Amino acid sequence: MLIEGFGQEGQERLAGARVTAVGLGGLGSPLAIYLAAAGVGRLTLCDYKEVDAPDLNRQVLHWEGDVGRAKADSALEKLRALNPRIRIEVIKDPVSRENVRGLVEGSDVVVDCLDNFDTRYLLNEACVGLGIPLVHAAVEGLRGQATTVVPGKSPCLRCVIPVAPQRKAVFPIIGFTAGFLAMVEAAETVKLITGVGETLAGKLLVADLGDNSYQVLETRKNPDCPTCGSR
Amino acid sequence: MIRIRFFAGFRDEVGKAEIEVEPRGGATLGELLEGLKENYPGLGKVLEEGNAIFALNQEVVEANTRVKDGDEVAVFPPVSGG
Ligand SMILES: [Zn+2]
Repeated sequence: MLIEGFGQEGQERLAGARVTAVGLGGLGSPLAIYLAAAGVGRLTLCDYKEVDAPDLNRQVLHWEGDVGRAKADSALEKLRALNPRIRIEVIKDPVSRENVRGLVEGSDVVVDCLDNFDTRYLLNEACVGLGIPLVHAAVEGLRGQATTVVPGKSPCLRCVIPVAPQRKAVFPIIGFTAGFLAMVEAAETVKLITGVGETLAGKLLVADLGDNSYQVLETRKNPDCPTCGSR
Repeated sequence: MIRIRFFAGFRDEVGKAEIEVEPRGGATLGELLEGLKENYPGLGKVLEEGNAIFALNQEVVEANTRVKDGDEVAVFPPVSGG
């Protein structure tokens, strides 16, 4: 498979890259499909939950017959069939303070496809500590946000969103919103690996599909940041 | 004047997409919004910690950043789902 504009060299870089995606839900499903199809050489996918029927509207790797199966197993089966030439591993443990560094170590890029900020902050800390680029996105309803953390160069996730957003008890995630933001994450990942284009490092994309407002804001490093601050 | 734009759910909370206010010398973004709470009670929810991302002239800032005449402020709710 060749992608126009990336050339042989870009394709080789993708084939030689290792990407870890945490979460195989609304963001992680489309992300994993596109990274597998793009020929990322080694994919590590992490999710400890089982497929639930209401997830099927957006978690496009998991189908009707997968309800009750581990998302990791369902993802592995589909992605192996899609691209048997790449290496895919799955991890079925929840991310914790204890295992997070071991989980991301050795990755060229880590992609945040999580559904909560407690775990996102753990991932952010581990990536900043190990110097691994982290691609963040989150969605709710018709809205989403995304940014890329390049440790040592850009603000980290905690600089940009210092306090976990208040969670509503129940909120809808519409499939195409997750798909939209997952594609932004896939693009960020491929750009980080190939060096093509400009990433969202130092920027925050705030997207609203409801009124088609897409804003790219500049972000600043917080010198007092508990994760990446210098003070 | 300082132009304050509200996005997504904040539009409903505040009841307006945009408010223009007179600058007050040396006021911070947070103080400016606090001062508007009387006329726009919905702002109380916006100002609760963890509820908003503030942007000043297209740059993400904290609520303690000073604002001046001609500035444009945007207020977004961050989301957490996936
Ligand atoms: Zn930071």
